[in-house]
Amino acid sequence: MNKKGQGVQFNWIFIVIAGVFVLMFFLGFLVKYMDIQDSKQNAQYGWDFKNHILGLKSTEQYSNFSAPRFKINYDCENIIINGDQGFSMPYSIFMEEIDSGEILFWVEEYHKGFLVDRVVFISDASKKYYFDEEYRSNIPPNIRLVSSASNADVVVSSDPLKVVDERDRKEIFVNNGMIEFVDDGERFLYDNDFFIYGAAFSNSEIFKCTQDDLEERFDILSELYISKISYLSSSQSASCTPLYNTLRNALTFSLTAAEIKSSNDNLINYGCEVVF
Amino acid sequence: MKRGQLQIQESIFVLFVFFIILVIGMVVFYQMEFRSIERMRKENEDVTFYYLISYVPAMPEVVCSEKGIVEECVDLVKARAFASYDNDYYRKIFGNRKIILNADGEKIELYDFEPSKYSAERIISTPVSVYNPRDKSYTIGKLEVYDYEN
Amino acid sequence: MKTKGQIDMFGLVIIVILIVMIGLFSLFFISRGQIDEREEYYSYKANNFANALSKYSRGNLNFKEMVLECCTGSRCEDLLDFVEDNFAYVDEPVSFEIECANSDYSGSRGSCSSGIASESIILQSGDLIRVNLCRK
Repeated sequence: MNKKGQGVQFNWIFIVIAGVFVLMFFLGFLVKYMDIQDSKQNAQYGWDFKNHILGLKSTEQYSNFSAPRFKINYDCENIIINGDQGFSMPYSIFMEEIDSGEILFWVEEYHKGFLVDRVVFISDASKKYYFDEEYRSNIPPNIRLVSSASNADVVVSSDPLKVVDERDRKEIFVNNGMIEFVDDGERFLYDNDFFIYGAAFSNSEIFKCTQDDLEERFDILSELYISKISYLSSSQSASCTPLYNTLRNALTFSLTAAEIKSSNDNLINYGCEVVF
Repeated sequence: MKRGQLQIQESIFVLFVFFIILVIGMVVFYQMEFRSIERMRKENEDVTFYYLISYVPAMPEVVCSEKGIVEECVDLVKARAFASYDNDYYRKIFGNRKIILNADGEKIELYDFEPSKYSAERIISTPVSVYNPRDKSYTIGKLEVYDYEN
Repeated sequence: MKTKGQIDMFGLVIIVILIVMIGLFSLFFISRGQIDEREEYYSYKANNFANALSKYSRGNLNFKEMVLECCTGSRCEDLLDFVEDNFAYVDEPVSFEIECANSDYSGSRGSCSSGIASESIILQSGDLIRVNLCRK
């Protein structure tokens, strides 16, 4: 009889231990399953997101994208969805961390005498922007503009009274060819209003890397155009040579966009083949 | 006793087999899900690959333009200059691929980062209009993009 | 009892084997992947080819003038021959169509009767050209 009772006790211990292992196994499976589903969903978001941007044609410069809320980051090389799935884009990008389900895109060409690159501005569609009047005309209609800085999430102004370092919004101070991110004090030179929009849509770190990237691309293109000038000046009439030299100097010494453009456009007035 | 032992063993075996079935089922399910994510990742890469066929002819480095206005053609002189440029910068855009423009009997390697080892090669191509500034002629060329799989 | 237990065990083993086989088959079919349509890619190629043809101009050969000569005169064979010579720039079966604005003439050349069509290009003369591309 004693032996029978001991046998029953032993059985229960075994069942409990086995049951615990089984439960741990199932819990482990559940956690793994949730991770996999998240990764799958992030990969799907990334695919939709990328397709949406790449689908923007030259005639559609802006559009909106809706999805269940997710987090998007950009590290100057890859766009990262929910800290998990990342992918690269063949464009320069201005954006900062977004945590939203409504995203807006704006594609704009950056010119410095000639086309340098097509740049994508990405933002949370619910954000409200205040720009000084002189910067408003180029902004597409899918960006929420407000008429008063006090209602805005992002303020871009050359009026120091409007950028007073309020903690709950982002402020960009534009003054004398300098862009300042008021929250971290970072300052950057700019030579094109295009970068004012870049600053509005990004943080100082992304702004710097994208601006540097565009400058590097400009330098590469300048070199390519200088090669083309060498080719053209040997095949065009001798009267074109001084004009090509002017343009070559403008590119070599990175003169202003207006000087570069006018040196090029002037060629056609003298019957010479334009470089760009 | 013996009958009881036999019944216990039977129950244990039933549980064991049930467990095995579950484990196999879960492994199969996991494999399916991992492959699904891998397939999505590959499709994402494919999107970039196919997109390049429209991106490259419109790149500022090769696209035709006159007084800043872009035309739908490839400038032959720019393409030659781009091919001879050491284009490490473009690695982040094109990755391990090769891009060739065939124009006027000339084969211009616009970009070449063919890996030393690959398991498969895919090619996509498109006809393009090619402008030659020397004689202001427009001819037809072929742009090819090679993709290499590991 | 022993016999019944053995039968039960045998049944369970059969179930395990069946599940494993079903799982392996599913893996096989899933990993084969899906056929990729890529319609946008073919559409882009067709548009590119039509654009490249319409722009062609070298020496005495000018595509727009050839179209004009075809639609106002009768030299359509020269135009179609020229287009066919350039089919080599497209890997897929392709066809070319022309519709003259001011005459009843409409012609075509190529081996793709219905595929992915390019956008119709209407030249300055009002004549229309179009390219069709078939998948390989």
